[in-house]
Amino acid sequence: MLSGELDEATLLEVLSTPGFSTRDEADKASGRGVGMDVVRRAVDMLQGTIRLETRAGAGSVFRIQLPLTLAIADALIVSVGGERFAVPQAGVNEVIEIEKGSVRRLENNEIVDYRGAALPLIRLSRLFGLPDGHGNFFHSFVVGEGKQAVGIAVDRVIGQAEIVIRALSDSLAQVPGISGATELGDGRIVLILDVPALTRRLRQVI
Amino acid sequence: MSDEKEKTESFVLFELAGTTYALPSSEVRQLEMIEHITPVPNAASTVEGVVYSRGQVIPAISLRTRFGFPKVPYDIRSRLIVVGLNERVIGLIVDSAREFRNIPIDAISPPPEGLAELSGPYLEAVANVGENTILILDLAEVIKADAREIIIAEG
Repeated sequence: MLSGELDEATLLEVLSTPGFSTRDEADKASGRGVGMDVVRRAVDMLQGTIRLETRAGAGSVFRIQLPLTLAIADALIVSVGGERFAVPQAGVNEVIEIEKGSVRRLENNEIVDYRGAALPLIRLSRLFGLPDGHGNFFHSFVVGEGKQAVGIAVDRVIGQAEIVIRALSDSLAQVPGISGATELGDGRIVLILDVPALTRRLRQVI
Repeated sequence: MSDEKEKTESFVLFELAGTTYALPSSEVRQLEMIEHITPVPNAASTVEGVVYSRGQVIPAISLRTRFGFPKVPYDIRSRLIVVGLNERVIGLIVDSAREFRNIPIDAISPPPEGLAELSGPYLEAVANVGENTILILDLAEVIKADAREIIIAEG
């Protein structure tokens, strides 16, 4: 009945209204009128569009379109072996300075003391085939909580920047550990680290 | 008949290790000077890195490496030929590129079998223009990801 009276855009508006539900009672998963409201707001936030096509008795299609340039993010800019990389700040707990001599070796792993526990280190230079730094100190950013915490070691954290995340759309430029690229205003491209992929890699090794 | 004889195709000519190559103009978006190329760790050996070109981050491939020629440092004649094919946009690094030329279709023939070395798999045709022989490339083959190299990069 309803779809006969309302066009699909209006119907979508109704479905996305906070608190609107087609159920009489809420269960554990659904029925509170939250879901579509959240979807709608998430799509809006990413500057995408959502469309609804529906036929009574046949089903509904929700089409979500998102722009390729998805977001602006706060990032740390780090240097490793003479190259710069951007690290989305959202996943970074802390930046620490490590003295070379304080790194301990356990089999193939390198570990430092961090807040009373052992923190495994991933050296970006080795993953990426870049030269190691020469200084007596290097920087590391800590990602993951509690026992999952790992330190990703770089030569130096150079600074912070607000970056526009761009996709590496061609397969020739897609490699593990890199999630995208950004341009820092000087026309040069800086690659964005895929922190979750890097930490997964360490766990596989352990 | 006379129309047939005058038919030409437009190509962008470029040089690599002393040989002249050509790509159909329709596949070439623009020529650029080579500025900063950001290396991509663990990418295939032909991928020199990525560059920022007209709002897009595109891979830059060394055609010298692709064809098995030794690498040389970039100089003021080095160029990035930005090509587009089926949604893909890629930069090809060449020794120099200066010329557009219309080549009569009559002058274009399939590559002789004796040329099967180096760029052999990437050749589409050969054009004889005056004294010069120009090798016309098959862009799809040139930018095809090398399956073997990808496996090594991920390993």
